[in-house]
Amino acid sequence: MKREHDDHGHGGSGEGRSADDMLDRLLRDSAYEGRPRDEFKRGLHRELAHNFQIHRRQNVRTAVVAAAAVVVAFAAFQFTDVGSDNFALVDTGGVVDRGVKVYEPTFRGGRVGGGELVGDSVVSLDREFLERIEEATAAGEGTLVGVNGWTVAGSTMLIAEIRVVVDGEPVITSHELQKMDSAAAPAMIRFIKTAREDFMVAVEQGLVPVSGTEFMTVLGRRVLVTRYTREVEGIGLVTHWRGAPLDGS
Amino acid sequence: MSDGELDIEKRWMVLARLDPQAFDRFYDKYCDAIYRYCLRRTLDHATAEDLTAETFLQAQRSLIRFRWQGVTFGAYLYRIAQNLVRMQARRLVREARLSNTETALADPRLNPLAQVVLTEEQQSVRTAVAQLEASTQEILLLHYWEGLTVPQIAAVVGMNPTTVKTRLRRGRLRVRKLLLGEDGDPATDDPAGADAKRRRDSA
Repeated sequence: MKREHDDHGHGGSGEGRSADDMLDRLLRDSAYEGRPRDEFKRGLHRELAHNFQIHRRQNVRTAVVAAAAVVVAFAAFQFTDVGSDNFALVDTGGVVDRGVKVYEPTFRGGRVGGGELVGDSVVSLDREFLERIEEATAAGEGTLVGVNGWTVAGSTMLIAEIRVVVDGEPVITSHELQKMDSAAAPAMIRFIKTAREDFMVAVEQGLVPVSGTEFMTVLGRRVLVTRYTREVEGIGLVTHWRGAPLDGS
Repeated sequence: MSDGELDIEKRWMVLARLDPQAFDRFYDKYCDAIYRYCLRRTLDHATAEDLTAETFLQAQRSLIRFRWQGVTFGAYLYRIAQNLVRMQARRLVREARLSNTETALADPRLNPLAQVVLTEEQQSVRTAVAQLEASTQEILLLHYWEGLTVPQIAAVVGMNPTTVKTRLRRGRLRVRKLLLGEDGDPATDDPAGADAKRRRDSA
């Protein structure tokens, strides 16, 4: 917000104008000045990030989950050698005639969703809590809430969003279903840095055309996934995948 | 505020509902301003921190329900902060056993910290402003202290811009009269006027 001081009935004469200016100055200068401590700002920032996670968990909305999940997944993809420890991916041969892919994740005790790989603003869970999430997920207590992903430079990464209840609290974790080819990494990094936000906004606003839909089976649930594709300058064709399990599946 | 600024914030809002890092942009942009808003009214850093934190936490909780009204997200934050400061002021009034709840927002007489942190001139002006009706006080202070435009103030106080402009003009004139000792009884309930008159006389 920019400071703006309109003329609010100021006098017209030079003397009147001067008195008015003085009154304006007095009023402005009566403000007590101060700025928040850096420590306070950092603390509140952490609290907001933490609360966002709780808020998000309590309002499970696939659309809301999608972008952050991709950030989490991509952090894992980009900076670590996590692989797909959380899931053994069984791809039944890609898109078959009926447009059905089957993903059967098998938990092998791997790390949960790259949670410790990203900054506080995305995931602010402590290690002990993460371990309990991992146990619950590995025990098959998770419920699929959504699937999302990206295709960049001809390579696709897909993420499953799984809800588990730990210590009575619902938590969303991200699991890599399909890993992106490392050759596509430079393009993906460029895309995230320069165009992902615009792309997401455009998808939210309905400005990116739907390029297709297909069914997948993930964790035993049937998921209808919609693909949004458009050309991104300097990157090429980019597709965003977004899907939610069908009711009753 | 420009249309461009609003457009940028609308983009941020779309992203903030998807990604917590995007809410950081609102936080980075408005944290200092909201803190100053709270501090100027409470004069106490610890209270200002509490109110600032509660403002952002409330805003975050209701992010999904937020609707644009032609002004920036900052106006929404100011509105939340305003309600919180008012609640705080009501507590002060109760503690001070005062009957006039409208004097609490800016009146340095209610706040012992005012004697410590404010200059005499600042106290005089704030005491004069505190004579105004509560919503007019708020309009005047949002304009002069926070530098908000009339449409932004209108969004914060929930009035139409024409009313805001009128109250701003009248409030300003009333403060001027109070400071000049031309309004009310300067010896009793108008120390600002008395101070101003004393300064004029000594000059």
